Amino acid sequence: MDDQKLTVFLVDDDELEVMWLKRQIANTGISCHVVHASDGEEALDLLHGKQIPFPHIIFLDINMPKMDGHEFLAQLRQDPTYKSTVVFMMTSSEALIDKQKAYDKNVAGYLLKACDASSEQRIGTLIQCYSDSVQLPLDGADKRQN
Amino acid sequence: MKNSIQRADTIERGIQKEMDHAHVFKWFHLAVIVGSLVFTLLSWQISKQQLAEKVEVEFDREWSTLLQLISDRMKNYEELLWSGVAAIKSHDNKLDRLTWRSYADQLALEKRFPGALGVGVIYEVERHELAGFLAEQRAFAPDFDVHPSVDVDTFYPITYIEPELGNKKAVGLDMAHEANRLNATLVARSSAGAIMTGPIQLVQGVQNTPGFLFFAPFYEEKSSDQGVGDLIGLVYSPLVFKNLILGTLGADQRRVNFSLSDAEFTLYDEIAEHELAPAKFVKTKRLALYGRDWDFEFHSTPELEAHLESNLPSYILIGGLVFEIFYIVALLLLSQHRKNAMGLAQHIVEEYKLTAQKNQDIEQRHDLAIKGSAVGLWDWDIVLKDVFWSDHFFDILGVEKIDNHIELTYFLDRLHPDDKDRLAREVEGHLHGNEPFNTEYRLKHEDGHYVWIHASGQALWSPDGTAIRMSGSASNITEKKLAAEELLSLNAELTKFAHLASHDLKTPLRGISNLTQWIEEDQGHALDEESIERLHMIRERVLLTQNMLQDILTYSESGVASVQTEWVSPSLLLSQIVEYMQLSEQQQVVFSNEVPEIYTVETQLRQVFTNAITNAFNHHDLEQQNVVVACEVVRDGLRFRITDDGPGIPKNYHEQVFELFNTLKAKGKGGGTGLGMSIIKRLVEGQKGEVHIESTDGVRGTSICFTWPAILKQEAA
Repeated sequence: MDDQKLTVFLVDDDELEVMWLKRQIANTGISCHVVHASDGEEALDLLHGKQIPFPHIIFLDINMPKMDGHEFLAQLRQDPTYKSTVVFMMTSSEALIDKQKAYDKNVAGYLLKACDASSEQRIGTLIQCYSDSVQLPLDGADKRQN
Repeated sequence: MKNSIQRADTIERGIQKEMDHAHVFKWFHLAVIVGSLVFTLLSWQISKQQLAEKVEVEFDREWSTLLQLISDRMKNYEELLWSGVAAIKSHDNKLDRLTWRSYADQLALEKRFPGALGVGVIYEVERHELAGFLAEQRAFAPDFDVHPSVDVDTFYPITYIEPELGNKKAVGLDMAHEANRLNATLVARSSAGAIMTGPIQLVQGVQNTPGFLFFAPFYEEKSSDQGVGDLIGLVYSPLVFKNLILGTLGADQRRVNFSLSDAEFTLYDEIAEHELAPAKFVKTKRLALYGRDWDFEFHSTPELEAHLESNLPSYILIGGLVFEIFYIVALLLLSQHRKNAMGLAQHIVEEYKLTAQKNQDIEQRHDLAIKGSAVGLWDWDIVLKDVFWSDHFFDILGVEKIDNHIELTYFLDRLHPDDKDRLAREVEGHLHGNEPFNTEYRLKHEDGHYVWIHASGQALWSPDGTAIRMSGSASNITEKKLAAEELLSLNAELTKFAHLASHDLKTPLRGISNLTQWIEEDQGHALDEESIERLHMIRERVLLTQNMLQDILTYSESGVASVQTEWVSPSLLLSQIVEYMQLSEQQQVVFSNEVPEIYTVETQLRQVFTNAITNAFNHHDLEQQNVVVACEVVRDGLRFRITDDGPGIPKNYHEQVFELFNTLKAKGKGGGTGLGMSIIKRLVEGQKGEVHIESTDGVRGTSICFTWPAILKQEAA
């Protein structure tokens, strides 16, 4: 596993979303890991079990079986390691209450899934910008190992 | 109410009685009139009498002064005579004519003794001495003679008289020739005092007025114990009374006139010449003077009587009478006013009775209406802090009514704690912001549970803006409320369901959309044109389905009653919507007129405007697209008319457009979901309004017309 690579963690119960995200990243030409979990519980397990590289960006769905996005986010923020990890909500819910809950837990953005192509463009652009402007934390994995 | 009518009847009877007995003059009025009249006359009489007494005193003083003056004057003349006697005596009884003249000149008779025509000497001459006497006198006055010749033994001729001028006829006149003169002479001779004659016609004939002579005798010197000696002669003076008076007592300054008579022979009379009218005051007085009795008669002059004519008594009389008249007039006026007032009172009482009767009717109707309906009435007197509850309130709460008037705290104690703040805010909002008062709250039933009350009301403000009273109606809506709550929870569940369903449907739709896209991207080169076209069609329908899901969500939410009412300006709202829509340059929305703000749910009106305008642009067939929004105030709110210049809608579709999922355009062409107009209808009707389409066949343009019942903001007066 190359530590120089950007690691993107997608938490979504729809496997089509994994395909979609991978396609978007592929379109940008950036090489990065895409790690996937189908619900909150699985995602927490993966993070705590250190079975995956330290995620630079987490894309999080809200409506999921077992543990939904809000619950996962709350638990994630309680862990000092992930207290300030970049999290984007990516959901089809437009409900105000969902947006408020998300921003209360310090998310970097709230992306709406839609059928038109524009949102796809945005995701690609977003990852590209992030990759360009941020010096990847090389010690991210070490920190976690400590 | 019945009591008021009875009371009015009693009052009316009282007034009638008063009017029946309302004579102009009561006995005490007459008593006052008579009494004051008597008083007036009495004081008039008394003042007159007092005045008369005063004048009489003055008159008495006047005449006694006058009498005194005359008496003094006569004494003066007596002195004149005695001084003549003294002069003769000083010449040893032998005073010749020239010496007498010189003596008389010294006296300045005319100046000091006016009225005295002269002063002279009479000698007593016996018949046998006459010749010698004549010879003696003729030595000085050759033509001296004694006349007229009478046959007597003793002559009393006037020997000297000075001034001789004017007294010529008297020289030599014998006193014995006439009884009056002789008598006085003899009395003087024997009494040895000054004596006057009675009234006589003087030989001097002065002014043809009566006069008299005044004598003072002189005698031979004798030793004192032998009494008087022989008479030598008399000093005399002829006097004219009128001159005497004129010279001494200025008649002009006198305030009495008088006449003087001696033995009924008038000596002096100014009464006859002065008086036209008989005098008010007359006094007769006899004065014994030098052997005569002078009878005076004094008359008051008009000048003196003028004092009698003082206006004081008249003023008293007139004043009294005027007062009398005023009093009577005042009584008449009062009586008239009283009659008028009574009439007015009667009128008012009648009016009052009518009103009371009317009120009774109203109250009965009111009572019946209240009893018959399930509505309670409340009336809050804010100033007196008194609350009136109609009977229905007590029925609602299961409380036995004691009094319709309750304390405000009684109400507050029964009010549900959760409703207190809200209700207080709403009341404040009505009292101070004139926001409509139409609310619901819970009151505690006697059993312990709460009943829902729907109340509406209206306050009354005093001119200075203070709320003084608030009243309205209230009804028990517990059952309705429970049903509504149930409905609300069902609706909420349904909305949640719709929400979840639409959300859950969106995800697979997105998947479908993505998958077709990926097929096209990855295997596009292997597909023929027709297949690619079909993939596009799949994606179009996915988009349509997604829009429909969104609208279903809106539609389901539009049924939920919102409590978020506020003051909304329709024109401002519209301009916000237009800005948000980001129209093209060819698209234009005009709001034709200003309307007042309304109290309504802003989000609902916003949705109606948005859908109507979107619909107009969606179905337009030309480049240039115009929409005009017009508005007018109607009885219970506003009426809007949103008109476009599009192709128009055939008449047979006017109803159809409001049906769910009904669109006049083919599916997939224009993206209409068929829900936009349904949402408008649902929202308008939820607001108790009415909506319809106006469009004439063969003419371009469509109007969506709808009423929006709401409370209008009144312009500040």
